[in-house]
Amino acid sequence: MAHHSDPKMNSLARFYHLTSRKRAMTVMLGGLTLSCAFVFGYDGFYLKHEKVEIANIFGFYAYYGFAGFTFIIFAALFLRKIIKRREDFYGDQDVNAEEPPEHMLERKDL
Amino acid sequence: MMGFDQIPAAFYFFLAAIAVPFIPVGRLRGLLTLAIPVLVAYNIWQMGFGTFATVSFMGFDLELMRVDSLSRVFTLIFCLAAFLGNLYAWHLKDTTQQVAALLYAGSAIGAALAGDLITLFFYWEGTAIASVFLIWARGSQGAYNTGMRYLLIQIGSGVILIAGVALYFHETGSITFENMKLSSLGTWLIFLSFGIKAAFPLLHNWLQDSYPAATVTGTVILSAFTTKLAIYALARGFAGTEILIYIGAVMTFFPIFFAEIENDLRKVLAYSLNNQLGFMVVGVGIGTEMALNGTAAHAFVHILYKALLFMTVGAVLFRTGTSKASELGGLYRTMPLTATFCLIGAASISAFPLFSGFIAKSLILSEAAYKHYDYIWLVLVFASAGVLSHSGIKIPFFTFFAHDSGKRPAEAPAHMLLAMGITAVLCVFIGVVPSTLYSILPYAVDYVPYTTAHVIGQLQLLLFALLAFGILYRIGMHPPEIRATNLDTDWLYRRMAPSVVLTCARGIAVVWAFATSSILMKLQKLIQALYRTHGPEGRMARVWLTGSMVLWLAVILLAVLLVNYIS
Repeated sequence: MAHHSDPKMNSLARFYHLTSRKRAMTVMLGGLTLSCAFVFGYDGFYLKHEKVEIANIFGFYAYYGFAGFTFIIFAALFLRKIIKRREDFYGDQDVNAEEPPEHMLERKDL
Repeated sequence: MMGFDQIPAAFYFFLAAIAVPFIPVGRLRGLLTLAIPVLVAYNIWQMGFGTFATVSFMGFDLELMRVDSLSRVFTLIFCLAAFLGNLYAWHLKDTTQQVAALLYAGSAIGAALAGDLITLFFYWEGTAIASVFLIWARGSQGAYNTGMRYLLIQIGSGVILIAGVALYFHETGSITFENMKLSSLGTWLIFLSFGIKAAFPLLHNWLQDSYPAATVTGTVILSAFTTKLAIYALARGFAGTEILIYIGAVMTFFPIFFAEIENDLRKVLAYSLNNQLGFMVVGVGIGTEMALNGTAAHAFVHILYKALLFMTVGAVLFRTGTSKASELGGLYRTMPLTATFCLIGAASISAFPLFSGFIAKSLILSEAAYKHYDYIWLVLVFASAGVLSHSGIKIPFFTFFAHDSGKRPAEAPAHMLLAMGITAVLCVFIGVVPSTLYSILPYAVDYVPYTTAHVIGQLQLLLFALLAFGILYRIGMHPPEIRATNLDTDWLYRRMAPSVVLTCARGIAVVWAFATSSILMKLQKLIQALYRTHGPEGRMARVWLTGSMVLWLAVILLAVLLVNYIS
């Protein structure tokens, strides 16, 4: 099971391992939503003096961050359709297609 | 005895580079590579401002070391980057890389301290030549090819620079490296040369082509110097040049989309580097004291957090043999410290409060707003959300979290962890105590980063962008990590230009073949005709009879008599 700790994991790794629990995604999204609600609502508790007029709108950065990020994702998906090629597009003597030489690595598994 | 101020700072690096191959003990070599940046940084800090180490060269007075508030901050961060990069590379037994790293850092520092354009040119080319060995040290055919492309572009930048300097000297009679106006061919060429190294749009792709091709440690060192040297050169030479504001805005914008769909995480960071340079270029373009402070501060913190991110991805490559996001995931299980450092680097580059990016980037954004560049400001804020998408989320999430790749690599070696740890501490320390950085900036800083409006605004931007990521990832709309090559402007010179040349060559070959065959045919006919008349069976080769010869002689004599008679 994904959420079972590996005995090789140290305490820090076990802390990170909490993110692999079944409900972790829901909990994290819930926590994030609450944080968003808090910082969004906080806009009503101080006076804005932004030099760019549009930034004085209540919750401007929240809208802009959400919309901007969503736009980036959809635009990137569209861009991929245009510019994506196979990995060895530039031939097998291209860094992207070759395996990293072993002399510069020190592979070590636990 | 010569004082430190009489010996250019770069020479210490060069002397160490000469000594390194002759030191048989690896640890001593490593210690030397660490000691030199510390020594130079200490001395630069102690020296005070002024021009030192002037020499005459072919009738020019060269200023090899000009220490002022702008050059000092860049020199200090270059020394710090050299120290951290060499510590990260402590395990190296390859003296070529150690020598290249010293020569490269020394050249960058020499260029930052250059008081004239000729000195700048020599160090400018020095960075190009030294750094390519960090790519070639990978030792593969792909790296060799990439290195050749990189060298061509970097040397080309230097050639354009010296052409511009010659014209500038012809116009003004001066070689002093100071603020210039874009009013002549000479200054435009110098500007273009700086723009190539600063990875201006359409001149940028050498960066994404070459940095992921270097060795594990080479990429960390490459990330610190060339582009930031170009930013320094722009700040020194073209501060307040308005076109830079728009160039910088484009730079912050377009790499975001490429980074989002790129699978190689070192290439993602190269695109991210391009995006971050855009902020600095905007600051140079605005050109006020506050904006230039912002550029210097952003360059300083950027070198640290970008090096940290390259170090963490490099450590993953070092242990697993890949830096492709499609092959990674879940590495927090066995590399939790590297994961933590990566998260700190991600938080810093995303400009979360209490991290270094927050206190540096905002100087530029505030000044853009203050100077009423409203649309530019909107682009920069948008680009800040973009930084979160590729460097803040993508790098740590798809490397250390997301799905379990099944890989269980050992934690990074101790020296790598130490280098990453020091860098991470600096990222947090500068974010928490910004006055430490503000105190070494070129101009006095009158700016408070931690205001309610700034903190809440930034948190709104980042947390809502994170929320968008969470939702899109949950519903499966986030771009999957897949093995692919994404086309960029390098396609122009790697595919289009060769195919155009090939097509032209084929066309010329066809025309040549046609032309030569037609001429050959005519020649052949001529030879055959000559053969018919002059060959062994030809008319001209026949033996003439004595009678006919006497007859022709009589005709000629008659003609002579007639002519004589008439005349």
